[in-house]
Amino acid sequence: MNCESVQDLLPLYLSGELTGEGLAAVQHHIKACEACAQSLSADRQLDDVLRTAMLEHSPDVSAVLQRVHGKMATSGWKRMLHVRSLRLAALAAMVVLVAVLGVSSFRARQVQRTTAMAAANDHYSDLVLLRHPDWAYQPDDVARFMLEEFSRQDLLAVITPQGAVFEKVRLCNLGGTQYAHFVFRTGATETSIFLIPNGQAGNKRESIHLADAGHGLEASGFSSEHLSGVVVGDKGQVQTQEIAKRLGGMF
Amino acid sequence: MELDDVKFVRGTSLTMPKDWTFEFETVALPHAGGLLRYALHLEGEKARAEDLVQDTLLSAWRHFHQFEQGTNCKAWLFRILKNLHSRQMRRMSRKPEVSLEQDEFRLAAPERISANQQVRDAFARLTPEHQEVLQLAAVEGLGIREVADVLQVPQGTVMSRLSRARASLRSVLQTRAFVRKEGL
Repeated sequence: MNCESVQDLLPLYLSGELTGEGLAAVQHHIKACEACAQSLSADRQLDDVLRTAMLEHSPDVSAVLQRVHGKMATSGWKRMLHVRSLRLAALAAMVVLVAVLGVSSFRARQVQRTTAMAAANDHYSDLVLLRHPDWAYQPDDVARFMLEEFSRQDLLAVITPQGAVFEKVRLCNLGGTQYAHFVFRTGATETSIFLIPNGQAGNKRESIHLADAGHGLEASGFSSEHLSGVVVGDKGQVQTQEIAKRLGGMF
Repeated sequence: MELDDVKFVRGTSLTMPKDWTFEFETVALPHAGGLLRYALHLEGEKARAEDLVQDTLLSAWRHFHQFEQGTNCKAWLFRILKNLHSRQMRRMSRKPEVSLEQDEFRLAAPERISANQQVRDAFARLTPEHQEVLQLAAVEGLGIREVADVLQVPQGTVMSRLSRARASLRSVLQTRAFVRKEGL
């Protein structure tokens, strides 16, 4: 395969969609051709830089999510009026519960759940599926962010789960809010801790636990006076609830 | 502080018939942020972009039983969003507007803005076609086939457009001092 053919296939190679003979041919060529290897590396780095920049500037999606949850609920109520009386009893009980809690807090909680699921999704995409060798954010950006947003110098030591080792950190965006995503490792098990900076945390002490956050993961969110976060790990293997409780009580 | 346990028990959903709420919240809603970024690119204005994302998610929710489990939900959502937007454009025959925000950072002094903002600035100078393909492939992580599906163009077109878009972005970035440092 010559350089021109390889250049044509590089977009597919970069997106991980090249398979079989095409993949083998490109890999073979790149090992021998420094120019194509450099071109591939430059494209990959360009994508990383662009992704980093665009995600840093992501819009806040929480307002849309609240509206969607509200519409889903409203639509659901209408449809459920046609179901059998036994389910109507449960429906009535739920209506009372929602009325007591207040619709706005109910929707806010839905957003909290969505954030926890987004965190689980992020963990799954980046750590399980793609296994990014290098994270999008440059070390300088992370250092600046940590210094500006988290006042505790000993933060890393404090949040490290018992028996785990810190592996990496990056900035990520969940529902329009910027989080620091820390990864800790215990043997083959990875635990993600997402922390929202001080300035953006609400002052209500709240928590949520999703025993099933999809992808075989569980997630626990917490909110304390100075910090909010989500802990994600393999279902039944990482004690996300305990870690979240410890962190929530600590800050 | 008390931790409360929110468990999802199949068959007890009260917000959606046929028990799709859990799946929808798990695989679809986490992509709301990416959808809003793409909608902002298409609409150029926040309120309209939010409306488009809302319509997309509600349409996806109504048709979620048609979503093929195991395929990329993100690509499916982006396709719905693009279809809805194209339909709106045909109905209203309007052109996308450039947001004020973009104009603001176009005018920002290079020495006073961060490296990330310079990259966004450079991105804003690309053609809408190049922005779109880079946003879908590089930023949102869709595959070539998925981008082709969203844009309704052949895969070959996506690949050549992506190569040209990367070259254009690199060309704009190379006029910036920080690029020399980054080695792009």
